[in-house]
Amino acid sequence: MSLKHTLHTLFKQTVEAVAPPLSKSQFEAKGVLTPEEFVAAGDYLVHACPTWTWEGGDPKKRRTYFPADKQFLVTRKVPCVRRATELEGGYNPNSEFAVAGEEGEDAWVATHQDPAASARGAGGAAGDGGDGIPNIDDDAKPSAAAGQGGAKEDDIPDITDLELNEGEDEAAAPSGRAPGYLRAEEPADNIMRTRTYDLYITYDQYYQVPRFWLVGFDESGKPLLPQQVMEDVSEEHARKTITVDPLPHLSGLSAASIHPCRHAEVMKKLVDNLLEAGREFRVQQYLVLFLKFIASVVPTIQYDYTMSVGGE
Amino acid sequence: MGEVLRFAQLQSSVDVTFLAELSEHKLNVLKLSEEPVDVCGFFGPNRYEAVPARLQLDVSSLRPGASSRPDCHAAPGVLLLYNTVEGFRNSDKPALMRQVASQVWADILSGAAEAQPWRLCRFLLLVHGDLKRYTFHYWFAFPALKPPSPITAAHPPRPLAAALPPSAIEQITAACSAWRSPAPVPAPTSDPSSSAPSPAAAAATSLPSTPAELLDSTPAPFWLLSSPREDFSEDVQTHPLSAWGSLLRGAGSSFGAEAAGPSGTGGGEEGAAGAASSAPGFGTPRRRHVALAFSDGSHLPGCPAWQLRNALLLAAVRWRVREQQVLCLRESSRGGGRLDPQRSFILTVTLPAVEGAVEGGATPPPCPDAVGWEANEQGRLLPRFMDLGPHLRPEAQAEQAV
Repeated sequence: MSLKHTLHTLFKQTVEAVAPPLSKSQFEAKGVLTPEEFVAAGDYLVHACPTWTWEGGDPKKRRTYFPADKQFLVTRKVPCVRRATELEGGYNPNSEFAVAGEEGEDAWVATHQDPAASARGAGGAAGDGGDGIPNIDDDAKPSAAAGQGGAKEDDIPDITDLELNEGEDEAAAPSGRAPGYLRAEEPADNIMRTRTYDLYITYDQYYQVPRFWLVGFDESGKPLLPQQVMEDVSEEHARKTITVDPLPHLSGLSAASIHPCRHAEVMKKLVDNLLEAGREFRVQQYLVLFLKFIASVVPTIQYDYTMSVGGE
Repeated sequence: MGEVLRFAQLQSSVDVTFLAELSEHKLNVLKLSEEPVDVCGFFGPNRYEAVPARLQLDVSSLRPGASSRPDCHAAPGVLLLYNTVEGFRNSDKPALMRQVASQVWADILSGAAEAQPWRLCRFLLLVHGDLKRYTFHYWFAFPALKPPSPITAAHPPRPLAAALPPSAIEQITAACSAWRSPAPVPAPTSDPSSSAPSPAAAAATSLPSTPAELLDSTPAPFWLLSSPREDFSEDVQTHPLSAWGSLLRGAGSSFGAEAAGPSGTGGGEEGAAGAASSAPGFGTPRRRHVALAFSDGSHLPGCPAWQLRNALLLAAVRWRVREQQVLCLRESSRGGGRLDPQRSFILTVTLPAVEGAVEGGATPPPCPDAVGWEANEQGRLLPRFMDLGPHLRPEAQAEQAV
């Protein structure tokens, strides 16, 4: 699968380099967008929902058919309080193993290597009174498995003797401290173990549709590995439509993205449904509708997809 | 009298792109040099109740031309990248903290911080990276200068929605959103016949290329709001901090003194008495009420984010106010990114008297102590650690590319 993806990426890059971007609107027939329509839809989104902004990205990676400051859309620090796996009624080890066997590929499944621990974590969170805040052990597990977090903190021997003492600072709100410190004396709702996401929407020239990217951070603000990001993708999509690719417009960053190969089809269907129901739909509203569709893929990431479309 | 006002500490959030760029920079530019490097961090008003105040660093922190962050405020940082673990270990951290703090203090005393409020948001970043293994130890400090006695809240913080009439909230929202995103420079698409801009036109929208340019191109995180009415229901205007003097010129000695009096239950009336004066500089002889506005990144109810501490010290030192009204502005996530009158709040703070007179004085007053080292994940004042091997190692990237 990996090889196939790599070959396809190369093919796609070649086509994008040679073939001109779509110039005639085919939105109604195929559910795809021209670059101009993407910009118009982006402008509409930014206007309707200012949590999204246009950015220019790396000047070296600009697409000349877009304005320099409107290369892609981004919204930052979007919270994700729960893992998608919890939402779906807990972890089902059988499904994981079935997939692992079938695909012969364990990169995504690696985060769930210890099914017992995940099950315990999910149970624990529910036991805490169902407040939806995951048990900290839940997150420590995949972090450690991915070689992140404090696992190698002993790289500097005896780093603890670097500890500083700032003395009393009564003006500091205690919840700025890390979770461990808080646990002892602060009410539970001050404990922040929420992951956050920077979400990007780029234009995919090959498929002529928007493409959605997820860049995640853990509770302490450290980057999540793409494998960990999978925990926030609904199970039915995690192993089918999510791929990890270099993020266009920004150098050096690979990110999980929802592969755009079916987007046009889905969008066409959604638009047809709206029209059949007697609603209006204009191409400017494309991204608003697109985000509603994406919400089903990443159900626990709390970006704003509440804007109405179709004259509601 | 009032309760000690508490501030929400910042959490650093380092993007993979920042450390990737840093590794490149180390290999190609810095090489063996351990000279300090200017960087920028980004922050904005809080949008989500679940997300604490953060300072974000990404590729544009080192290379401002790499991307634009139009919706953020920029903070200036000094990055010290050590070649050796020993260098990182043995650096005199309290001395580094004092050094940055004294810059902040000097900028407050000289008035430079009023002209360029980002000077109040300085931070320090110590890093040691093993570039072969993509592992990093790093430590942030966000210096907050401690006044001689703590800043207190004269009244409990109140949500804008409860404290002000709807017309005031509307005006404040409009004024502040104009402050945060100034009218864009007209798009360079002068030729209507070509739908896509030419590369030349694209290049015309130039991005700042140095941290200094970036800092001056982003809106200030602190500004002033003025209105002839106590409840901001009329003619709300925004001003840079440096306008304080002209807003209050000829005000005499009365302002700030009367503020403790107003009743606590007056709906839209209370609290707005922080600073009132005639404002000849703005063409009207009427008294204007002036509040300090702040893009508040904190998610904690009633606790403003860390950066406000230095701004309030500035108010105490430069403006000599003992009582000041502060609007801590947060945004709403639903319905999108606009000022949230439920979570934004009004504070009336009581400031201690701080000696800061420099006019004619021979030696400036000594710099107050500063606090603000970032704690690690366990809540201890220790460096943080990050292993980006799985993100950046070529083999690992190949594995991930499924």
